[in-house]
Amino acid sequence: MGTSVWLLAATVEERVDALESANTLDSQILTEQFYFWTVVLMWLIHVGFMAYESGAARRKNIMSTAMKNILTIAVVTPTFYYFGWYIYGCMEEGWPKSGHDSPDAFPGFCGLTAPWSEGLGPNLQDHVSLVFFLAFLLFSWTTASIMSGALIERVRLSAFLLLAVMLGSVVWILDAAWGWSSGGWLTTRFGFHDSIASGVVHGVAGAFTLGVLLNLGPRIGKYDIAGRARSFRPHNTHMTLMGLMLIFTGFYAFYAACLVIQSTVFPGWLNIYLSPTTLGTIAMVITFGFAGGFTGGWFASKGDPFWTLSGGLAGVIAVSAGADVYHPSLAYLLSFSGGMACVWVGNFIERRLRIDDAVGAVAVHGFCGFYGVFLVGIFAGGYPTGVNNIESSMGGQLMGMMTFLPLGFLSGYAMSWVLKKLNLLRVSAEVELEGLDLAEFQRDFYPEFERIPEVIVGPDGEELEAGPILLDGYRAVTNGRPTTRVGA
Amino acid sequence: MFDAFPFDEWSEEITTFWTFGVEGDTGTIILTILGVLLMIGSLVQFVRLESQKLDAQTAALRQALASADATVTTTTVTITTTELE
Repeated sequence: MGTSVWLLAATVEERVDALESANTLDSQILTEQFYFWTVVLMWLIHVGFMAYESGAARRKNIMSTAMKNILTIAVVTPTFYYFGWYIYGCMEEGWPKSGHDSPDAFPGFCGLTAPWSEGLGPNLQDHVSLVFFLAFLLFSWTTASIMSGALIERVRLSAFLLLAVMLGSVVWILDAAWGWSSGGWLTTRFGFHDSIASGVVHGVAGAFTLGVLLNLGPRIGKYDIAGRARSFRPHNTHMTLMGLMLIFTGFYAFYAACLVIQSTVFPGWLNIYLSPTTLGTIAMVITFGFAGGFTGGWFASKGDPFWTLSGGLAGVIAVSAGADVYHPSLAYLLSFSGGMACVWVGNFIERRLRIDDAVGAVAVHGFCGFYGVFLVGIFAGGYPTGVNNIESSMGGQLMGMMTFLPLGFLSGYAMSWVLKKLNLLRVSAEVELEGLDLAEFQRDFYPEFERIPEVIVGPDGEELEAGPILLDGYRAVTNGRPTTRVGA
Repeated sequence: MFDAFPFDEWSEEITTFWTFGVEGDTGTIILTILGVLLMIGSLVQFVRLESQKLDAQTAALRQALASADATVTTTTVTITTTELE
């Protein structure tokens, strides 16, 4: 009798061990599949950015605009692999180290982020590291692409690529290490809370873009002699709007990829700081964020299609920082304010500051990104964040903003200043006037269509023939002298 | 279940199975160095190749402007150059 019980117990124990092992493998493969599909869907963000910006460009700059988005993938991927991921894994405590005392949520994570480590190559025992890396890589492409649209029609392609490397593989991932990781010093010391990256991705990219735009300058003909802003007609508004809708679709995957799965432990999902939430919570917030943002953008712009859709994006960005805890009604209200604010800020930047941001990236991503971080201090204050369970607070949110704003702006300004001094930032005035596509690719990309007169919309809304205005602008810019050295 | 891999030769404990050695191995380090070199080289070449194109086009356009060939057409500003014709 005793022997039989012992044998039964041993058999049961063996079966339980086998089931636990299978369950663990199932859980890991579920995680692997989840991140893989978020990566696939996040590609739509880049399809969208390409269509959005190409549609916003004039006919003479279509392919040079699109090529920026495509080659972003070519340069950010290797740079993020060879050093960007290492920054995220190894600089959570700041540089120099902040000296804070926090539990290490992922022991050995730093070592797994070196390109020669077992975390970044084929590994039968690790179903998570590579797909987790890829999700972050797609975040990096997105961050670099946020800057892309603002600079179109006058930036050198290669200058943009170098700036994309700086933003996508250094600046944003450094701030992510500090304020968007379980061991980041901003989180473990100050309870900084930015769950779906309002400030970490959008705010910093917007600040970086603002720094670049100050050195890059406006497109020829953008402002009249009195400094009033003119508008260039997008060559294909339908393509622009379709691009934005594709970005929105991809953003659901972006949202999902910001969570951590823990399928065998209640409640199954964690935010990036390893605090609990659910997938449904963030999905409701992004959906109501679009609804509120579209509404706010529509009313603030008096029904302008471009700003209505941009308002949707701005609305989502404004609620992303607290998306893991916000009620849908709160998301709806806050995103409405974000959608309205982006229109006002965008007009202020264009008309008062006279900064030529071709797609409103600084207003939509920069302003609304930091606005979202700020809102968490009001509407999610007291929520325990991160492995140290530090309560979110306005002080902690302001600390994050004071860290990220100069980090983004100064790095963008400094790098673009150096490129400008080296005569590598902007195309010559002659090439800009004629269009970048002929210089870069020696062809017109709508060869079968007759060219129609290019129109510029004047400050008072009147439609004007572009040719004389552009030539006047060219002469004013060059003052009879070349603006760039040839063969420098 | 499928079990085609020759674990008896390789070991069931196998984790990394990289083409030029395991993690941190000399072969892996060499591959990393080559990849970094390609990355840096491509960044430099992006700048150089574009500079060549832009310089050539700018020079041609300036020459045309100097000979007062700039004309305003129905499309936008067209600067007539022999290269483009």
